[in-house]
Amino acid sequence: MSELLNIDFASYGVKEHLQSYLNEIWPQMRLFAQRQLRQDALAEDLVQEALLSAIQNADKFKGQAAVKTWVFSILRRKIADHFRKSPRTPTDQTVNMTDESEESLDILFDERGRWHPHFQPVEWGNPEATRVQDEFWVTFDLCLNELPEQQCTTFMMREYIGLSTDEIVSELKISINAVNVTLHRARIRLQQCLSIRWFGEQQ
Amino acid sequence: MKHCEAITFLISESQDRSLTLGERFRLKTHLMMCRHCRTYEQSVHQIRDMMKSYSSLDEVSSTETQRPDPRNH
Ligand SMILES: [Zn+2]
Repeated sequence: MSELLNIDFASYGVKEHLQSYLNEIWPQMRLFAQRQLRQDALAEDLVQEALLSAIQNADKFKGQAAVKTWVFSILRRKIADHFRKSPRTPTDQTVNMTDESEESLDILFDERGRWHPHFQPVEWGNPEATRVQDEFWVTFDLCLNELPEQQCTTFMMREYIGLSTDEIVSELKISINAVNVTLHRARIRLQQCLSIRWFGEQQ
Repeated sequence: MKHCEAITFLISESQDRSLTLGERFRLKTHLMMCRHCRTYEQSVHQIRDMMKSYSSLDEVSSTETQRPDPRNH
């Protein structure tokens, strides 16, 4: 089955249980990439690259949930990189939410902790209607990928894999407060990103 | 007290644990007065719903391969 992936797992010293797990989730990754990219060969390549960079760091991950989060976040990142290079990438210069600096959220609020007029939340209209559109999920993916890495991983563990914050604490070996702060930052960045990139354009 | 900034943190925490009585009171009274935080809270709920749809998109894909879902383990 490994030959489907064209990756010689053994030469990378990947343990057998991880090999078979990656083989299991590989078709899911491929379908995911195809849905995003609509180019099968490109999807195949990006999945391959994502798996390669995942197995090079595989020993860092213990639970299967963590492995899945890890490989999918690499894949999402690669897809986002592709979108950034392609001309149909939506761009917005009003706020740089890709800034890795954790303090950059401060710009959303004034010195008294109130919403800065420029970043006040806007109504999202009818999200049910937008969710049936494929393009919405491309934007959604883009916003997820623009989260700083730690925020993306933590948020995906919580909302995609469905781990509790206590489980995330033991998986990532960070404090509960750090998890709460990271999730908060991820949510507020997503809210701002979707407002700008999707709901802003609709109004 | 840092108003909206602190309230948005509380809104996020309400997604991950049950708030204490005091926290709920603080949140409610602020939301009654502040439409921006009200809108923000709505969006946070909507993001959770979106993530549910998003992960079920992947589940639809994975059923095609007849693969057991590792999330059940
Ligand atoms: Zn407020």
